Amino acid sequence: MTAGDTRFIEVYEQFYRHVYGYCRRRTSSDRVDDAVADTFLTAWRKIDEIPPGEECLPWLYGVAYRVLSHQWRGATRRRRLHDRLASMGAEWHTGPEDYIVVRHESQQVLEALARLKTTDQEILRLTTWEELAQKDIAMALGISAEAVRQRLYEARKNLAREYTRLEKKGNRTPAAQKGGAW
Amino acid sequence: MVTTEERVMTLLAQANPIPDLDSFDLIEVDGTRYLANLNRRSSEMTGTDSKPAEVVAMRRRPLVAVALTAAAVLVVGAVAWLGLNRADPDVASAGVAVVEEFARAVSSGATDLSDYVTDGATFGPVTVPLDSDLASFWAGLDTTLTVSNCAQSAQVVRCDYEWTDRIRQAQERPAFGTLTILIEGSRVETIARDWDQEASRWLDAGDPVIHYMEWLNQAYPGWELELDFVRDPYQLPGRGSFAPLGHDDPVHNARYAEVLTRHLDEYAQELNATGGLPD
Repeated sequence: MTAGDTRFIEVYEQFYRHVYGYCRRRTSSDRVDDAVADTFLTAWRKIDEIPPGEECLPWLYGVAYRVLSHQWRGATRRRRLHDRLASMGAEWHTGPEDYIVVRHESQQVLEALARLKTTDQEILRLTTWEELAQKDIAMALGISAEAVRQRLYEARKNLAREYTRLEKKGNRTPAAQKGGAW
Repeated sequence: MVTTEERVMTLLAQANPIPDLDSFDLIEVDGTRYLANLNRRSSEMTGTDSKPAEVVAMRRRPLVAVALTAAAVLVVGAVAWLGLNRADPDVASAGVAVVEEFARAVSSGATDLSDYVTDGATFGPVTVPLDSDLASFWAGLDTTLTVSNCAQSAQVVRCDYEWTDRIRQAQERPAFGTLTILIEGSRVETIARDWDQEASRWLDAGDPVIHYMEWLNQAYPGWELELDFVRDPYQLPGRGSFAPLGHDDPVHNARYAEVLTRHLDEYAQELNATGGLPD
């Protein structure tokens, strides 16, 4: 067994769960296994490029992000994500392993998130869901820590703005939606 | 006082679909077994097994040569496909318009190309434009790509193609095969599924590219076509995929095109001197 093999086994066993969680949070359940497999296949090919220590996990997240980007890019991606968001409640409710009560507010914030730039979405998710530090987000996305700081600042504001917009839209009466009075 | 930003960030944290990883009963995480599986799949694909590097290299050499040849053809197809343009206004057709629309969709990052690629549609003839790094090389060959029987599924477009150029036309040997294109945002990778069978077919048919490669190796020993046989995330066991090294690096591609152009010019001169390709 080569040093690369040993390293790969360590990485796989230490971080499989994290990568699985990362992918599971971002894609439908039927695509998770493929995304995880693709991520570790890339890690296997690039075993010599995997940074040591604490930077390894952000590096894997970066790979997983690019793997998942296949499903995300472009206008079609946004439309599909909206569709997926709309169906998430039912899917999660019926899942045997994660019975989650999807509240209206959660759906709304996810919808607001989907309206942001792709990278900003990912910065927010990595911050809140993976709880990564800004330097680790920078590693995952291949941008500078300062860029992460600035984009996070803007993304938070934009998310709040989009959420408020959706809130107002949701509170409209049918008459208002048709152009009538509020 | 909680600001809207803070409230929304809290909501986002609460919207985490998997807040607690430990609650998941995941499959047994066995890195050794997983690695063995990867190696097995790789062996199935390359025809090698886990032997010392030099043994593997020796065994891979003919495979890589075939892979490089196949890759060259596929890269041509991909470049032509991406840089589709009309050589002559008279050839304008509905098919070309669709192809141009397709190219725009790809460059804008669209992943759902079902509106642009129709099963059974035939496109062409088309040639590559001169504004691409590699295009001047292929355009100089009067390259014509005809794509037919296109089918699109998710992010994969698969077409039958016939590719001719100056040399092939002289020899009446168009290249043909199946071009599989994976759309990844603005990047496009070509995948030759079952490439080994296809490459064998080309070998049997005396494909000019094969002869060009052989000539190249003899004329420039030690010079290597800068294409790499890569194992990528999209491969399936027993199948291969190809991508030129630095294919997203304009500087590299420009140099690559320059080298290939020079070599091919010399090759063409030699063809003229010897009366054509060997049978």
